[in-house]
Amino acid sequence: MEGSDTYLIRPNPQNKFKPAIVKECIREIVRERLSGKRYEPEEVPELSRSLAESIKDRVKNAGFDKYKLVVQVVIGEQRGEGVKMSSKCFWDADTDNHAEDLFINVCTFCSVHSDYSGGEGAKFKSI
Amino acid sequence: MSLFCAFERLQKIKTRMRTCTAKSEHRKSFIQKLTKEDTWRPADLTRHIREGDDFDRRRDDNERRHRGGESVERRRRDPEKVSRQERDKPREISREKRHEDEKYRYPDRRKEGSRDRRGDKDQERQDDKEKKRERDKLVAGKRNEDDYKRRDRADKQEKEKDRERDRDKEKDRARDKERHNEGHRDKRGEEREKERRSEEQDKEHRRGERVRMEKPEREKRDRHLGRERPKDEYRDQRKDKERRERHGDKKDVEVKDERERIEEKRRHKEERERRHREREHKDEKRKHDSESRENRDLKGTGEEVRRHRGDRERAERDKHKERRKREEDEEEEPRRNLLTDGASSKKPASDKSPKQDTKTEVATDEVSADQEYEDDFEEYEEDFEEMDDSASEREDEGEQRHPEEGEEREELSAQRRKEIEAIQRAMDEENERVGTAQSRQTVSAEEEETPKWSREKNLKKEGGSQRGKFIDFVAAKQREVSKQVSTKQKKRSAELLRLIDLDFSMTVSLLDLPAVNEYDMYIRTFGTANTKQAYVQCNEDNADRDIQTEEIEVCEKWTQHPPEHKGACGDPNLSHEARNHGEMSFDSQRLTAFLRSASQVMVILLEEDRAERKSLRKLSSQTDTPSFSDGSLQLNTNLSFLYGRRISLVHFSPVQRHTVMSVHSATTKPSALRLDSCTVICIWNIWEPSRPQKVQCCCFSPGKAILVFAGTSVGSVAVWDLREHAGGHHRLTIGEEEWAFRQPTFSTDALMAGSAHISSVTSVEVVPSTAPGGLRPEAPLLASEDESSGLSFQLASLDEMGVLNFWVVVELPKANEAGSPTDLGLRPGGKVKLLHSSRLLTADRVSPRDAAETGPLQTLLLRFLPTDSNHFFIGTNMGLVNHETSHGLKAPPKLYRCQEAGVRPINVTSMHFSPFRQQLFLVGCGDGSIRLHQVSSEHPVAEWKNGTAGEPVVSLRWTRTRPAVFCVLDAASTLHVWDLLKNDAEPVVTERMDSDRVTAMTVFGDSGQQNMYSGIALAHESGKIEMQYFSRHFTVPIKAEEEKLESMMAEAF
Repeated sequence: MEGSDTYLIRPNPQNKFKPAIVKECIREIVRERLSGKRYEPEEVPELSRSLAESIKDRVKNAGFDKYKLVVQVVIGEQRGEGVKMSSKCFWDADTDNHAEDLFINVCTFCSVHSDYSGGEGAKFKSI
Repeated sequence: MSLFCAFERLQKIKTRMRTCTAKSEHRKSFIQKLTKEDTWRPADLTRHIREGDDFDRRRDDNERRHRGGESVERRRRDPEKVSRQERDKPREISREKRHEDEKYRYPDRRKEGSRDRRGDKDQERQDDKEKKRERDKLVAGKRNEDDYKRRDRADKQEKEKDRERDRDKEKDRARDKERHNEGHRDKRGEEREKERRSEEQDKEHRRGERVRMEKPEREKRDRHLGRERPKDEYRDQRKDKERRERHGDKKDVEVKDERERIEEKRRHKEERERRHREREHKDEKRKHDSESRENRDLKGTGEEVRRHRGDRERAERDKHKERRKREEDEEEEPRRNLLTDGASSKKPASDKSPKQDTKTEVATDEVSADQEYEDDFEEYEEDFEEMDDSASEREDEGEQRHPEEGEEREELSAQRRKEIEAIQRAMDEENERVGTAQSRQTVSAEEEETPKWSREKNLKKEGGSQRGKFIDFVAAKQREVSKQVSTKQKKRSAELLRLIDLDFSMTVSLLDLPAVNEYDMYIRTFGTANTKQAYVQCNEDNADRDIQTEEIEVCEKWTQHPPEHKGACGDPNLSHEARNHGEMSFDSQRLTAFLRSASQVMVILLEEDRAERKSLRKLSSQTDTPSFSDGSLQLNTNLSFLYGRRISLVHFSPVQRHTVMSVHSATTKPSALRLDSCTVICIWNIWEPSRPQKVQCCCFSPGKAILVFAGTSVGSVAVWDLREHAGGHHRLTIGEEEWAFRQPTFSTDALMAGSAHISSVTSVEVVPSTAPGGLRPEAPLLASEDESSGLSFQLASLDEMGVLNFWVVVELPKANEAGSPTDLGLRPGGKVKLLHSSRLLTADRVSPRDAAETGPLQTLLLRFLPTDSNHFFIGTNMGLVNHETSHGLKAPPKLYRCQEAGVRPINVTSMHFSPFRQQLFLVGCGDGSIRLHQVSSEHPVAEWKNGTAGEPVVSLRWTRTRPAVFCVLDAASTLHVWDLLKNDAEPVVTERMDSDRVTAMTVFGDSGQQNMYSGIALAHESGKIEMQYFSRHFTVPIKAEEEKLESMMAEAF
């Protein structure tokens, strides 16, 4: 009764995640929200959360079907310390991708990194 | 009333017994759990065997489900039962407590109960002898029966129930009759099932009552009644049956078919409850109603569960039942179905929350009841002990269900035993349910039992049961659903993972912000204040290079001091090539030329400077300055090697007018120097009078500027090449200065006697190479390279014997340091040599007659006609000048004689051609006469007999700048200056130098436009050489002087 399932393991080419578009999204939002802002330790948690949310919403509307989005926003203060950030994902390199953008203010830096993983597709049952 | 009280009392006792039973059973069941956890319980096993077919089929369908569901469900029953038991206990106790005050009212009943129990015990003892377990169980069952009976008795008054009972009895009787035919096993199974159901019903009912019990105190009375009554009714119902079975009219008939009775009971109960509810509605709040309804729901659920459990058993049983009690089945089945439907329809509706509410209410109730319970517990300790044993035994018995059981019971009293067993089953069931229910209440747990419950609960809860308990149903369903979902997802993920490769292939560097260094920090902080950062970069292409200066070029050089011949410095890398190249490119000739001229100019300037000062001093000091003189200059002959030497000759180079040569004859005075026996020729530069440039020995006559020719008294001709380096010659350090004394480059000494002179050479003359008639061009200050290199000219030497030799001066292209093996006269390293060209014998012409008269002819002087080298003039000791030609025809005037005829033996001491009019020449004779000849005529143009006052003429010279002026030096050291234009009869100036006799005299001068000078060099006896410059009127020529002289000559002829 449960025959072999068929899966869509690749997204459509037109629905494939395009880092350039997402990067533009991120850039727009981040520029719009952060330009001219000073680093306020009290505001930053909320700010980064809302940034992540709005980026996620925007990217969701960009038409990348079958994708699960992970948005990570890091906002830090620039006071001369060195910062090194990197990310690593356990994913399917064929379908999943990431986009990141960096915004540096006089006193703030903001690194946004979106991982897009998923894309394993819908499941069709053949009975 | 009293009956009611008695009933109450009895009930209390029974409750205690049950409590104890429950406790012991609980313990038992726990032990059982521990030991038989994973195995089938006997009851289940038997059931399983019976239902083999059905079971197997199910298992085939879904193995997992069967395992997870069925078996676990069965196991789950136990904790539920236990907890329900435990829950029931306090309830009963609380009830008892509340009626404690009524105890005294029922003494008889108590007695009765004790009597009954005693009887039971007797029975048990009998059973023990045969089989202890059987007996215990029976006793327990009997005790229950007693309770029921008592209750029944108390409820006799109720008419409705009686009616129902009658109806039941009839049914029972009919059923019992049929049942007698069947085997014990069927009966037992049915009984067991019925018991369970009845117990549950009872319990549920009681729980409902208990809930109702929780009322404010003012309603206590009412509540009490309301609470007790349903229970009593229920019990009465059961007791009724039992009593009927045991003590009633037809005991035998009634006992059978417990199931039927239970069904009826349920029916009764429902009716009763309905009624009861109606009653309670009057005095109780609506809440109770809802609670009771909930309870009913719960009960319904429980029943449904039970029914499920018993499905298979029932199916078996139904086969038998169908035969005997069709009508009943027809009646019951719909009802059962109805109930089942209701339960199942209620199932989803019955949320967890109402159940939990119930439970919590129960819990609070129990907490309050605990204390009351303690008192009663002590009172009935004895009973507990007994009943613990019996109950435990009974529990085992009931569950194991040996086949012999039935037989034994039949031996005692089959009907009664069956009844007892049915009741036991019901109680078990009830206890189990109670226990299970109570296990959920953590608050009410008794200390000694709490661990058991929790353990049981843990064990039992492992397997989720769909149908086990109403409380768990929804959760279980959810669990089931979630399990299905999760397995589905698991499967999906497993399949997908095979298709998708996940990796960590990419690491993204999100941000790499280097720490700000100190300088940047400083600039950021202070850099903007009144400062500006700027930088300059010259080499724009290399802005990122650290070192931007040009590479330093290094090269290695060496120098050496003192320098050796090949140079004073060098480069090891470019050693040979560079040096050679340097030498090649280095124009040494030009440099030396420059250096020479420059040094000469410098030296001349210095000398002039000094001479000027000296001459000025002399002019001021010397009063005896000759009148013709404008100033004088002295050559520094005050040298050690010239000291004491008499100057025999002073000669100026015809080409280089500033170069003067002085011949110092050998001195007889001994001196320290070895040069004493040598004649020394000194070459002077008149501009540099302080020192002689070259010193030569054995000299006579100069030729070219760079070559000095000398004829020696031994008949050899020597040539000095002044270009030879001074280093190659013998050097002498005289005083502070070092002088190079040159040996002649070539000497004809080694030549064959045939070609060389055999007498002393009297005169050496260079044959003029210029074409006759032309003036020799003005030579440069120093001999040019062309002149020296292209020198190829003839030299004529005349000895006393009248032999005239012509020599060709040859310059070798290459010097041979080792010396020439063939040219023995050539000095090693010398480059100039003389080749004998021709030989003329000039003296042969002298007639022997003359020679006899005057002695042998001596040729004393040799002069060539400056304009034609073919003609030469030889002065003889006869006072004649022979005119000869070297080749070709002889020129017309054969000889020049004085105006007087005859030949006198007078030496021609001096002969000089006019530098302006070369047809004119002066001849000075030993008798002091001076003749002026013209080449073309034999006789002189003019002759002055007394020019020198009889003194022999030593030297006679035309001046260089004025054609009409000439100087004559006589042996008396008197100098006569003639100016033919002023006075053609006697000299214009006669100067006599007595203090220091003049031994030699020559003129010098240059008619150059800018620097016209003229003078006379006087060599004194003391060795001094004095250069006297003529005063202006002797130097600057008069206008048209030559023409005047010419005309004067013409006049003379």
